[in-house]
Amino acid sequence: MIKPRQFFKITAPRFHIENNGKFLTRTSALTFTVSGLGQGLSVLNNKKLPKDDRKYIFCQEMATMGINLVALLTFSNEFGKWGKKLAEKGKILPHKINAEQVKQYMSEAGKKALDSKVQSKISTHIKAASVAATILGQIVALNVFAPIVRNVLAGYADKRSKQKCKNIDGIKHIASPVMPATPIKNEEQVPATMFTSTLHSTRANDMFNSFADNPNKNLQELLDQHK
Amino acid sequence: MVTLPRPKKIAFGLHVPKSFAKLADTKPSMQRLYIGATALVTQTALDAGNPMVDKETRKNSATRTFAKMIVTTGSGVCARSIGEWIGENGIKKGLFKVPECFKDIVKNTYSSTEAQKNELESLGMKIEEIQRKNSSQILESLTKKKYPRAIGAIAGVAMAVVSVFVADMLFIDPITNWMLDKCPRLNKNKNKANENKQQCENKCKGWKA
Repeated sequence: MIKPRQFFKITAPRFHIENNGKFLTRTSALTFTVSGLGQGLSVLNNKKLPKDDRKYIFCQEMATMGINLVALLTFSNEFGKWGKKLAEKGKILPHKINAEQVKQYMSEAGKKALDSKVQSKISTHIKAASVAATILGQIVALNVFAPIVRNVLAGYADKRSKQKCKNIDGIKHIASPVMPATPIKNEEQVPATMFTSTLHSTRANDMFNSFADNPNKNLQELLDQHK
Repeated sequence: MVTLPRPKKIAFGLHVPKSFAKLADTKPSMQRLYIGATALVTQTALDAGNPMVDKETRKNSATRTFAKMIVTTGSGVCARSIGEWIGENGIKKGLFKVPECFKDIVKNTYSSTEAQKNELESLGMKIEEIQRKNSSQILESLTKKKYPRAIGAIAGVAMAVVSVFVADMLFIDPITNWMLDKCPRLNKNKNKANENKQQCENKCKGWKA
């Protein structure tokens, strides 16, 4: 087993020198895992949140962390391989070197015929292409793929929670933290002047729920909507 | 029938600038900067154009993402840069020593002297200075340049992990909220929401009376 001292003094620096692309990917994965766990723990320790909510948000944080991690490892690995392939095939070329020289470098026999300076230039170029593509993969994974998946999942969860408020018969039930869900059957039969009636309480709740959903909506629009 | 010889396939490739080679030695702080800078644009744009939520929610989430990205990228880049500075200067000032076996690792990775010279050049050493040195001196100076960088990268990652607990968990939310409060453009939605809330409360008071 590697001792921690040896790991930090020799093994990790060696890995950094030999394969910087993989080093960056693995260290990013480590920091994202720690960050996800940290955010999850901070939710669990948040006493202001109800216990059930804490569990739910913790699971949400863990799911986000999982999506980030899987996307990061998959994309950066694949992009890294793709970048290396592009450089090896001569699709992207180093400064003052042509595609023929790169092809020659890739064959065992031709490599010996090349000048050592050209050889070192091409090998550095292949490494750089791999690292650049790995970073590109990380950007695509963390900044494009993961947010899209997260937004779609969050939108789906939001829709499901809103659907819970509607009965299958078409009778509207109001989900309110203040009072239990009350069905509204014939709105026209109830006088509209008494605020203390159940219907008006439910109307007020309905309005407050809409307000909570859209805090920036014009108040007049909301009042008209729930008249 | 006369058969014409097939034309030789000409390989075309896109030439990249000379500085592209420097990407092979990207530091973790630079990597965090690239990811953060692109996140600032893409994540804000994705949140602003999310069709699953209504217009106001979109606006709020986009402004919050924008503020949060500035804060997280800033703290991440700073933590990594500090770690790298500690790692690199620690070796220069003799806090850590370059292990003897590391010379062999560098020699195995950059087998020819030309490769070592090329690497030294990309690390910022002047060509005249490189040409004055013999092969063993080149290997020596490459090891001395490479090892601090590697230790700096590791220290940078360690600092990033620490910063997650110190900065991200304790300061990200207050700083993001402070930014949203201070910046009038970002604050526009919040002000409107507060105004509406106040109006609603006044209306309720009127009803109760």
